[in-house]
Amino acid sequence: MTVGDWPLSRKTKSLNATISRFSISGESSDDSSEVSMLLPESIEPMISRVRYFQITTTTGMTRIKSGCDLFENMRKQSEIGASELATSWKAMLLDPNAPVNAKALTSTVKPIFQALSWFGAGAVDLRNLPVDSVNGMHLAVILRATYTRKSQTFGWDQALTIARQALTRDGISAADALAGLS
Amino acid sequence: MTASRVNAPLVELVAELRWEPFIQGGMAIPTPGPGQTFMVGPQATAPDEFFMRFGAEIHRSGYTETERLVPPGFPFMQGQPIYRFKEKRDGSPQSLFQVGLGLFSANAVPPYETWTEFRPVVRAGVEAMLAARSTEERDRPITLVNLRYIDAFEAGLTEGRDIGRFLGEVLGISITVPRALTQHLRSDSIPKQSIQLQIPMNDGKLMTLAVAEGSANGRTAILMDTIVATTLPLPPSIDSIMQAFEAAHDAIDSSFSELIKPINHLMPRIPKESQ
Repeated sequence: MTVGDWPLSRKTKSLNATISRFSISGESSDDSSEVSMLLPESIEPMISRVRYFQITTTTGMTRIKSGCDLFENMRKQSEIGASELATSWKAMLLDPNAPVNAKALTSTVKPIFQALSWFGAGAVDLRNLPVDSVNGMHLAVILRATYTRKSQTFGWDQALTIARQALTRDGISAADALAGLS
Repeated sequence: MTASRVNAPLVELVAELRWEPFIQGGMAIPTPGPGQTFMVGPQATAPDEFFMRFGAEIHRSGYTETERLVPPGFPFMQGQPIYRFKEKRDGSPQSLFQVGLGLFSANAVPPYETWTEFRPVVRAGVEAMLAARSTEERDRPITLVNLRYIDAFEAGLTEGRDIGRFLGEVLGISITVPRALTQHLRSDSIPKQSIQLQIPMNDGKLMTLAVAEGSANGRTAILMDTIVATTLPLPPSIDSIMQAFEAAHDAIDSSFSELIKPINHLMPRIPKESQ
């Protein structure tokens, strides 16, 4: 099957499709289409940050093809996306000397929220953080951002302990920085 | 769904989990395709211990009927159900669990009541599964949380519509077949349509909706297969897993309720007090 990778506006409801040799793949274009498909409004709002939106239409067939390959592609894209965002939120988290002003903390927490929103809590892995390299304040804001989904965040409880140690090491009150998180 | 309906089209509801199993003994032969490991040779002991522990745990909840789906010593695939555990009330199964190498599923069959009633069943099964996993794999993440509803709309619910009209008039998914194709159409026939949509959702989940003609219980029907699955691993804890199932259920429930609005009158919700 063909998997497209194209931008699709959230407002795009009508997807035009062109027939290729092996499949029918949708794309948002203004070209005159041969097959068109209109999606119901109950589905459209659920589409998020669409990087590919695959539609299969078959004519004269009674069986639906397996979506296994596409699911694996989606998994891989999620892994890659989560990994890219992790690079961003870990940058200052793993720098004990990183600034802890509002701008710096925002640069850590913003990709965390993006990861949670786009890929879910599974995209944030707080296991095995090296206590010597951790910035306690940046870890504190990450723990706060993930608090409501701590059960789905790998290593959340472990990271809370690490944050206490790192904050204490830096002479910052762990009780204040982590208030409400225990 | 949250509230049960008269004439509900549900054929089966499956709540499924997968993980990378700890393999001991036997011989694992990787095969093409993701997660496809073929187990052959002397029977691996670890899976059977897991199955027995799971069976003992779930026996306490009334799942007293056990069925081995693959004979002992036979090769089996990773992710293939090996054992089935059934609960029977009044002589008919209400729900069942299936376990395999790196696989757990809770299946509800008609008469399915509501998610509210099925949720504790899933929870009991997941708790038993987590407790039964060997120490070697106890901390391994859950790689897939998958909730699947299979609905069959028979003639009474389609009101005689063919699949094309059902897709357009009921589900609101319109497919226009161009003349380039219809020019080859026999005059006494119509194009048979089937669709599969993959909808990347917020939260890293993926919804798959497939609609096609088929049969259920020996009768022709329009089948709708709706799946919401996670795409990234989750920690192996009961709260983590149940949260993922809840989110998947909410997404399917809201979609289903809106999709079937044009035939809502054929399957009205049962008032709470009479449930």
